[in-house]
Amino acid sequence: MARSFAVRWLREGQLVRVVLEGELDIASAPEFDAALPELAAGDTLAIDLRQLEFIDSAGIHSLMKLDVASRRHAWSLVLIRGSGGVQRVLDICRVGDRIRTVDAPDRAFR
Amino acid sequence: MSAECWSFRAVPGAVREARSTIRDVARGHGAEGGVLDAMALCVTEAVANVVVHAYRDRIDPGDVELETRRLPDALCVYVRDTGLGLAPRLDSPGPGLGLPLIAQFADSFEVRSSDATGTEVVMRFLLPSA
Repeated sequence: MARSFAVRWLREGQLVRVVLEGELDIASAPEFDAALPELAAGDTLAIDLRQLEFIDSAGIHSLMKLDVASRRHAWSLVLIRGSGGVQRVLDICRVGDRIRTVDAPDRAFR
Repeated sequence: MSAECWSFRAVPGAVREARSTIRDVARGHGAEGGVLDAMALCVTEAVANVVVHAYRDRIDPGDVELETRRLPDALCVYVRDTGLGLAPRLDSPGPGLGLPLIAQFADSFEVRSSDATGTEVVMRFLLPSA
């Protein structure tokens, strides 16, 4: 059976870019939650949604938990905008009201 | 009216099986693009609700049933369980977005529940006429 979700991350100084691929749902959200690296105050975590093909409310919940953690530990969280269907779910859930969203990785730093 | 039915064990992996199934069925009925995405999301949310809530009083989860019925102008999708039925849950582990997302993406939906029979979510998606 083809792997339906993958997460990988890359640190470049204080920017950690996490690339999500495939489908983020109640089955894969625990893998996403567990895969993230340690972050320090001042770091920026950029979640790259461009290769994500599906997200459900469990995936939204994972992103919102990251938002809470970022505020608690003084690192920044930014989303790199997903494709049509994925971004539509995020927009309907108004995730952008809580988490800064940009079009490309080079916009992750303010 | 054609009808098909599937049953899955109500564990997290069931959402993928059900989502894959509804995509195949919907494509067979001519759905594409946004309608296909809407069905995949709504079925995922309905099945996830069963996984998270329906059998929380049991060690071994029960089943989740998926049924589709082709109507002249729509596909009607049923997600059923034989669990606890609707009940307040103060320790809910999710964000509470499942049913609101279904309400947003389905053309209509209804929840039927009783503690004797479990819960049935009925979702209707408009399709080109058969």
